[in-house]
Amino acid sequence: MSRLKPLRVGAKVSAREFKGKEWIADLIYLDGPLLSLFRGGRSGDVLVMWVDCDDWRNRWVSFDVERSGLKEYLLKRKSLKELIFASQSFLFFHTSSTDRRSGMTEVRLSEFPSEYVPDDNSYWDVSFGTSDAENLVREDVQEYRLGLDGESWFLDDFSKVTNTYRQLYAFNYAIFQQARSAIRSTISKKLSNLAWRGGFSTVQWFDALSSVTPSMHKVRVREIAYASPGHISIDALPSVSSRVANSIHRLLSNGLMDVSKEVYKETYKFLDDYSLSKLDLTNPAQLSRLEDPTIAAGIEGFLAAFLEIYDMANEEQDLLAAGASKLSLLKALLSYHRRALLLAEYVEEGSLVLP
Amino acid sequence: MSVIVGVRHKYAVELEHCDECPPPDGEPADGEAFRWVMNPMTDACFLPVALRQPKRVTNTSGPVKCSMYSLSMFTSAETGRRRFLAIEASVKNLRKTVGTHLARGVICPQDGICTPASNTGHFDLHELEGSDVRAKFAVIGEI
Repeated sequence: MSRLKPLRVGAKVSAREFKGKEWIADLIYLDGPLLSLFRGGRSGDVLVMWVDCDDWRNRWVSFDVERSGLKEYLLKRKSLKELIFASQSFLFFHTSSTDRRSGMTEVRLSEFPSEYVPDDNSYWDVSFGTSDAENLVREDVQEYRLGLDGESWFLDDFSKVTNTYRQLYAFNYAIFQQARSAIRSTISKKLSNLAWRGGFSTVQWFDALSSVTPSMHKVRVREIAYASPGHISIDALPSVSSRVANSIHRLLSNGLMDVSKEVYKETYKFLDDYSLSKLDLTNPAQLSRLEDPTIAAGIEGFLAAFLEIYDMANEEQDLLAAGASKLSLLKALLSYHRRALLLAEYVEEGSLVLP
Repeated sequence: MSVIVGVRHKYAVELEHCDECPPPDGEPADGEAFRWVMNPMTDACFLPVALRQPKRVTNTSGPVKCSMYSLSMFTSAETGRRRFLAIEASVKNLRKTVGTHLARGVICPQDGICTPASNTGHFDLHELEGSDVRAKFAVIGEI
């Protein structure tokens, strides 16, 4: 095979231009990925498309894709060609026998090589997509309103409530989308490889979940009406937003909130008594302590309690199969509980309504 | 490590950390199969994607998947051709990476385990140690 033709357009840029992108799913896969979705920081989602090769290198192009455009593509209402022409700027790069990206070149739409432009009928089809891609369109976001009482909110209430809701949403999204490879990989890596010795791991955990959520599934604000009553209207997956609401309503029913606070206190007493709070879950020597029957039984008992509180008992096996240890899963649930309690208190005092 | 009827997966070493490979719903190979190849065929035409050069599979492509160490096959020439042409509308240089021709072969249990065919006629062949699938295939025409 002859060598790749040089691009002869665009301007060389640093390979760091592609840094920080998280793989979400392969959308077209044929003996390897041909079109993949990545999550890329504030700008949203990025598509990476294979375009060319020789015997030594593959050439790829990445470009931003709007949330609506991606959805339209996966619903076969827009072609891949239309997505390309909706973007203004492209990053071409090469990969060879290593995973390193080289030859990063920024190209404008007017310079996009015609030989790489897809046909007019370049619509996505489930037959050459992947199950991950299918899972992305299994459910669509809908409007969901968080009710608020406009006479009692301070500015930091907005950040507390919205940030906490975002994190609970990310957790429930991960459970809902566990079948997707990127989610399973994130659960496995973060639940297994975080030390879970303090707040840093907790933040990393929720950030990681957020990073593999494509923009088409992320919570997006439609409208904020600060009034009494007022609302924050968001786009969210109904199945996920209902799971978040369910968590809060369960806490507020039948005195479960007080019970859960007691269980939480007992859990931390148990973790402290057996020096498990600061146990480094990435250290095999320390992990061996978890084989002690008393410790194992305690962890299992508290884990079962929180899974029951939040109606997640059915998901336990899937989460453990994804690579989580029972202790790391317990610690993740404890962090979930702190956040659920916070929102439950807002709901209990009437400042927030979660339908 | 995958052990099938006393014979290992051809790529058992690479799949050491991959659970359940081949998938438990696989069946021993038995019958006609079609594959995209270059013409003339080379050894590379029968390497799984994770080992082919240049690699299209990178560490940012997601976790190691069982299917990355299998060979894509089709149940008929027509299904193979149809899927190829559907994707080619989106990926113009597809022939440079996947192949230009269709090859037909007859595979047997000693060659490996096949995943159930999808409704588009695609399946994965997980080769067993010692198999030489290339020797069983011949080019039958351009895609």
